[in-house]
Amino acid sequence: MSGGIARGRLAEERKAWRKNHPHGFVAKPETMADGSANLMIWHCTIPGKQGTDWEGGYYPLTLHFSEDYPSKPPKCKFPQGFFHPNVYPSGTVCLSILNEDSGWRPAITVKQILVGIQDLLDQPNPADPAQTDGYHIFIQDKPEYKRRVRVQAKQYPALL
Amino acid sequence: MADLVSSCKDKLAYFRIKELKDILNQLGLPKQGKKQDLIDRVLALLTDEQGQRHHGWGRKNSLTKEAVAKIVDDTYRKMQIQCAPDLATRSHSGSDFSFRPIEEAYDSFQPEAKVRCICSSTMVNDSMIQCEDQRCQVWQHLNCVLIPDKPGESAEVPPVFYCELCRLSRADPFWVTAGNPLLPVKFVSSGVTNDGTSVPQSVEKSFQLSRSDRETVQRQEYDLQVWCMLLNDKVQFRMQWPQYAELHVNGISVRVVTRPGSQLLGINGRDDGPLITTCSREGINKICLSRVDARTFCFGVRIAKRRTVAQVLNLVPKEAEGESFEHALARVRRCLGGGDTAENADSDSDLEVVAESVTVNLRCPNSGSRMRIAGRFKPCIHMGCFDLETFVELNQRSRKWQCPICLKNYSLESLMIDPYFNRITSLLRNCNEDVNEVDVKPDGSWRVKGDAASRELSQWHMPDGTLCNPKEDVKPAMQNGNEQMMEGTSDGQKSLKIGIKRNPNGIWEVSSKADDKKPSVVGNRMQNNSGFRALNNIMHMSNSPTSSYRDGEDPSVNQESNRHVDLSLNNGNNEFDSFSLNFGQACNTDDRPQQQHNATDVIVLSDSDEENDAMVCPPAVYDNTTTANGSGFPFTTNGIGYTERYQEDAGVGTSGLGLLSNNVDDFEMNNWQMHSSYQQPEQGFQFFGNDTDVHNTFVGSHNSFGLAPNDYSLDCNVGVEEASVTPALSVCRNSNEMHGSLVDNPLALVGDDPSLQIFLPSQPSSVPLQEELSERANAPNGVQSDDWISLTLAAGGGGNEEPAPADVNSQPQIPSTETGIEPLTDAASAFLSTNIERRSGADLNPRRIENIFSHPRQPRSVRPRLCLSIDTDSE
Repeated sequence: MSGGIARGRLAEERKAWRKNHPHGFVAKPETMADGSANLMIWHCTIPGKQGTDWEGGYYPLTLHFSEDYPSKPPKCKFPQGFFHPNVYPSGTVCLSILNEDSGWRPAITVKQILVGIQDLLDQPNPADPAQTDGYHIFIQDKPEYKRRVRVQAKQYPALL
Repeated sequence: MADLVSSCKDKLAYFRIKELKDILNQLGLPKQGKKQDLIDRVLALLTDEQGQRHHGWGRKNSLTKEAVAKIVDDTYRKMQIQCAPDLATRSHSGSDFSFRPIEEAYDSFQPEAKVRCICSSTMVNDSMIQCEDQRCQVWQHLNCVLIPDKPGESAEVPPVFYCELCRLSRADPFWVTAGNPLLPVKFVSSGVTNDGTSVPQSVEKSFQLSRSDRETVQRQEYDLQVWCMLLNDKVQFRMQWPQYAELHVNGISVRVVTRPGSQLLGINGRDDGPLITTCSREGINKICLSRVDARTFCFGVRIAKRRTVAQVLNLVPKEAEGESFEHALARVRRCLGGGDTAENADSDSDLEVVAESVTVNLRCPNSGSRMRIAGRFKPCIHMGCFDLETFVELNQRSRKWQCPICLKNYSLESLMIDPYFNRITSLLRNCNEDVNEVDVKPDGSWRVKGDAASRELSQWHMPDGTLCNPKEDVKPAMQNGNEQMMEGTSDGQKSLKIGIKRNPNGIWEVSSKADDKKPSVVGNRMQNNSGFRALNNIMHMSNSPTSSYRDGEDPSVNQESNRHVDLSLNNGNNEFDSFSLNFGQACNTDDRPQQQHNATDVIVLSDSDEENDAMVCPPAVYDNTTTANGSGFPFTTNGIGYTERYQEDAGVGTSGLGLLSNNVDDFEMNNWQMHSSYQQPEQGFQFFGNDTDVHNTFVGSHNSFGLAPNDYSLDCNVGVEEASVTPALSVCRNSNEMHGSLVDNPLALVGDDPSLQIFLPSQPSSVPLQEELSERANAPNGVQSDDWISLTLAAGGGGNEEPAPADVNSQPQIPSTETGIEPLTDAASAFLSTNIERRSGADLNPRRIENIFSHPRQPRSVRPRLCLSIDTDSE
């Protein structure tokens, strides 16, 4: 089977990330009970972009890679109930570069995925809503939306 | 008349490209273009004729149009003869019937056409289309297999048509169809209800599984598979299951897709064919497929044999078979010519545009590491590539034969190796895995980016992988050199004739000498100029005594300083040979060099018949022979100009370098001769000088010159040793050093230092020398290094075999395959040299001795001589 391709690529991604990654971001494979790394699940942290309402928050994100990676994109999930118009109630992120049939291509790196999601936080796509709560407030009540974002930013402080 | 045009139009749509070209050939029209273009060309002719008819041109134009229609009908009839004899019975009606001769009915026993349609009917009608696969060629009904996107519209005839089974085999080349228990079954929509909801439909079929088929699928590499396909799928080669598909085989439920039933398959998704081997049984099997989908599908059951990744990789054309190197290079140049197109070149990181080159990342978009074999899809216009093995292995699971860079869909048949990038990745195969980027110029030349790459790979290479000309930076000097070389050539030819005349006599006549004197002087001037330029390079590597000497004198004396350096070189070289001569030599040692010398003569003479560049060789060899026979040095002096030119020619052109690398012994011989005989012209020149010291030194040199016969034999021998055992070079240097210490003459002792300095650049690993070198001196040092690497290349490539004259003649006609091998040899030799250098480390005798014994490539009779040299070092 070609499962080796996915793990080989993820090993390269891990190597590249450790060599060079943007400030504030965290991305590392899950550590299993026996201490070894499970490359198919990565635990990440995305900082809120400076100058935006999301600033100050460090939002946990989990990347689930399948054996079909990089033919298929990983599934990226925020915690359940995460407040954002393009995040499903389950926490799954709805983003074009994460959709096999729209913007995904195998050359996209983990770094590009995380930076893309960071951009998505402050630039929602109202044409593709994924949750009713975030979508309606974003469309109808901008001040309330901003307030909700800042409240959420406080819920995810930096881990020291 | 309109009816006739319509009829011809239908027939034209029915034709294959081959028939269309036949018609156009008979009509005298161009035959290039796609199938639709060919059809339009014929129809345009018919339409024009019809238009002209309205102008009342009468019978003549009608006849012409009729002729066109007749040609179309004849071709159509010929095609139908093999497929459907009953079509022959059709006839045309209307007013044009009177112009057509009555056709006889064809024999009804003609072989029947191979009709296999998803409607299960084998009846032939007016609209048939044929599969393009050469091993298939089945006919199908146009209305059955071409489904319009919207009801009511007519489907467009595709330029290339494949039947379902051929589409299936291209969708997943990891399975080979070994049998079709259930041929393709059409699953057509029965319409929708008034509220627009699709109606659940189901199709139940039974298929027969014979005992032998049953036994086949029980074997490990065989399986029974159900497949399904959307007839008008935009992605031609993939499976697709309908919405809410439910499959039952012999009453057992089989899952067909992993996604929700309501979710459609996206443009970049792929479906799979479930295996039902465990559900099947011998005899009659029942299969039932239900769905809630208004689109038109077809499905079937097949016996499939599994293919391994290696077997699929073997289906990809080899580098030489897929695409020509020139074609690939043209694509790279086109992509780098325009800024926008160049974006496709980058497969991973952002594109970095520097002054005159573009950084291309060699990472595979799938594996994330550097490509080993650069693969691509033939129709892609971008120059980005992916690793071939990773891609095929990945598709064993995903079955997505789609370019990972531009996401266009193809099939395995379009997969191939990119000759340009594969040559680069092959040269980089032994590099550190962190080496991932190359700089590429618009003309296709490239170099490796980053400090991790070896020194050679960091230099600019020609598109085919050979190093660019090191003298590129000093073009003005090169031009002058070319002019002087041309003058030297003309003088050389004149001198050659005189020499040939004298050879049969073998007598030294005063009158002949007087005639030779003038051309000798001319040759000396040319050589002096060339030598002066070379000495300028050497001067950068001189030690402090020579430099201070030069600083304290005026320009006229500066030339004397150069001559001084020459004298030192000359003394060192001659005394080295003389020193070696002191050792006893076995008879077989003497015989071997002479034999090789003779072989070289034959090779050189053959070269002269092939290329003008080789013309410089015969005179040199002749002069050497003359010198060996005791003739005076003027002829040797005449020969120098040619060998000098030969050396520079080798450095100029790639073909020259190739020629040298393919004539190992010849190259070594000429190289050594050039080196040893390089000193002679200066002596001749100094003969006319007034300096007393120079005169005395010349007298001394003349004495050593008397040993010429043995000296040349030794030179040949030493040259061969260098070719076969690279570490031997250090032994020569040791001998040189020791010999220097044995000389009482202070002048010679001082002169040995420049000689030693000049020898050192041939080994880049020498740390002290590199520290001394200035930036300007790097250029000549690079030249020396390249020459040395070329020597290693010659050694590695040619071995000790004597190339036959026939081989020499065939050199210019080396196939492209062999050309591709050279870069690999070059890389291997270069890295081998690097390893040797690193192992030697510091200049310690024990290490050198260790190297000599650790790399005994060929047992040779000269080995005892090496031991003698080693003993000398020990003393």
